[in-house]
Amino acid sequence: MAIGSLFGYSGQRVLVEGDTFANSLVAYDSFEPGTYFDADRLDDFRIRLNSFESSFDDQATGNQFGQPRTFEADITEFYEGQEIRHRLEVNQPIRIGGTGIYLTGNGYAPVFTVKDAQGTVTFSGPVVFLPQPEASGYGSRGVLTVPDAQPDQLGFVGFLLPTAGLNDDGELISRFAELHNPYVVMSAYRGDLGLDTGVPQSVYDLDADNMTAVTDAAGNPITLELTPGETVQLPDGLGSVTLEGIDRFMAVDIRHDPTQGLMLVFSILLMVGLGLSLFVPRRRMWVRTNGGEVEVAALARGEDPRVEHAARELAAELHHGARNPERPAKGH
Amino acid sequence: MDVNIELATWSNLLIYSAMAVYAIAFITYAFDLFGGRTLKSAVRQRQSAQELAASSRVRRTTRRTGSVAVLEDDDPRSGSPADRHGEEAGNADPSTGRSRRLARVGTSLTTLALVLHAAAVATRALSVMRGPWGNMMEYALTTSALAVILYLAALKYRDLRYLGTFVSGAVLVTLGLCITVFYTPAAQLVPALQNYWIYIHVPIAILSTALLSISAALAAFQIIKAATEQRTTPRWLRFMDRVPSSENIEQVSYRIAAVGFITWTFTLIAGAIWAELAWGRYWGWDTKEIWTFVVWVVYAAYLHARATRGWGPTRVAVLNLTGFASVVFNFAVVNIYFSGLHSYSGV
Repeated sequence: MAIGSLFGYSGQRVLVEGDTFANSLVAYDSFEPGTYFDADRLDDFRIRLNSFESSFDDQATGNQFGQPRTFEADITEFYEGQEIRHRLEVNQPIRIGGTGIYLTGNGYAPVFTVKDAQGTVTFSGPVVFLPQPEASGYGSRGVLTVPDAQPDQLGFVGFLLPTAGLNDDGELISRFAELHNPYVVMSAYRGDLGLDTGVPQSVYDLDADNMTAVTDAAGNPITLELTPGETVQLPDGLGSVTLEGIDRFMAVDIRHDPTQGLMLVFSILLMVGLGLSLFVPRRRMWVRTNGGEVEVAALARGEDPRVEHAARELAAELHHGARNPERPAKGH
Repeated sequence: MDVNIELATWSNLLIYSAMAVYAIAFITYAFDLFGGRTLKSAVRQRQSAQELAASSRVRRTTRRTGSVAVLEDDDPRSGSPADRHGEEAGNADPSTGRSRRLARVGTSLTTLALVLHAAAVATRALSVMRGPWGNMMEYALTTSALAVILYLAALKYRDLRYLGTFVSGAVLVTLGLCITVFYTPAAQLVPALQNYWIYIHVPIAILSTALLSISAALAAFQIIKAATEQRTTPRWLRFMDRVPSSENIEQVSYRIAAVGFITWTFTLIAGAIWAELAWGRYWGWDTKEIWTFVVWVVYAAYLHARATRGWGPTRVAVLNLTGFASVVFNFAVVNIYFSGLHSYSGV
């Protein structure tokens, strides 16, 4: 187990529909290698997520309603000059070389287009919104950063509700994990995103230290509300934000553990040995003659309920053998 | 996504029916165990007389120093004196076998309840066309049914009916929990459970849990019986005289626990293999994985302590009960209160 950890690695990557992942260190979102792992030993492959499908239970009742039922990722693998189509599911990993690719997560990635006041596109593409554990129905949170915006850099913190609705308390929640009534709510900030400082930032958090909220004419911070296809104009000549559509993303774990097969063999051996040690009795038997009398004794190592029976069997055999010296006794 | 709602409703009804019959069986068994007016002084005298007679024939030392059997003539007695006393005491009853009839009635009622219980499991399984162990409710339902099956099967080999009160009572409570706290409507499985391994890992886990629960019940009786053997029995524990010797109980408890331990080991390994398939690693220190391992260690300690000298049978039985407490914790607490990869509780 230790050797496997030393020489293996575990990495994670989020991949939006249409994107390709090439197996190299820079392409991982996070990567935990073993101490002796050498990056040159990464298998040379690429995978492309063609599409991601999921289905959730809308027939069940009670707390089973809305539970996931299927997750399927349509993947094309490019390895050693070959293109292979795969269907990646939760219990069906893709194995390429010595590497395993496991589907561990998924979610939505709304596609935004941000334009400045002149109509120049300053951002276009999907933004991964992570499903929040405490939110129902895949309520997801994400951050859209637009460093190329003019006149100020823009940052948006958004919440996506795939099926927006009101709960009993009148709060806006997502009722179901599929896109039956998609709705994105965002707050907007302007200023300096802090991307030039050289300090790495998480793409899922907005560092608003050097930013101020974008306000409307009355001085209140604005809230953008978007449905797919809608465009919202930002005040103060900052431009516009359009929600083009909503893509899916999948999250995969990519792992390599060279000692896995050995572990299996050893654990099975362990189990067999355990069974033997518990259920195979070990006994010693003695036979002592004392003139015409024969004594049979048996000693078991620890608990053995049948030791007396074994001694008696041996005594019976000897008895039989003594009475019938010509005919050999059964067994030995 | 097709769930046969009618079958699922039948399943719930059958659970209620089974609970009703288990309740009656519980009361019947309780009367068998605790009832019987004339307490056992008469039986005690019989016991000591037999002891004198038997010890002249076969000398047999206790299990603690290993089994030694020395046969000096050719018609030895069978069984240990203590064994025979237990069974004779159980069978010979001053009140003309009335309470043993109660035990038979209790057993018949338990069998009837089991038929209803098994039908509940079957209808639940058929309503979703998959194994009935996709969430906590179904798991508890199936495990308790299996425990009763094991108990009834064991009755063919030994008179374990003193356990009847406990078994029917515990199953009654479990079914009550199934239909209330653990209850979740019949539905299909989440994607992480949709794999053939659910037919390997989970049934063996169910078998292990059932075996270990019977072993723990026996261990509890063993401790109480050992306490009554040490000194004169207090009045409220007189019913324990019906129960075989603590040595006898201990043997049965140990053998069942040994089998349960092997199957638990297999559960752990099968779980690891499935984990590699689903999550990419065979061991990740997930809460459930850790607690399954804790249970394994406690039972390993129990088996080891039993083989070593210096640990009396009562202390060893406490280890058995600790192990079982971990099993219950693993199921009831870890599934609900610790969110991890394994939380398929459905609650």
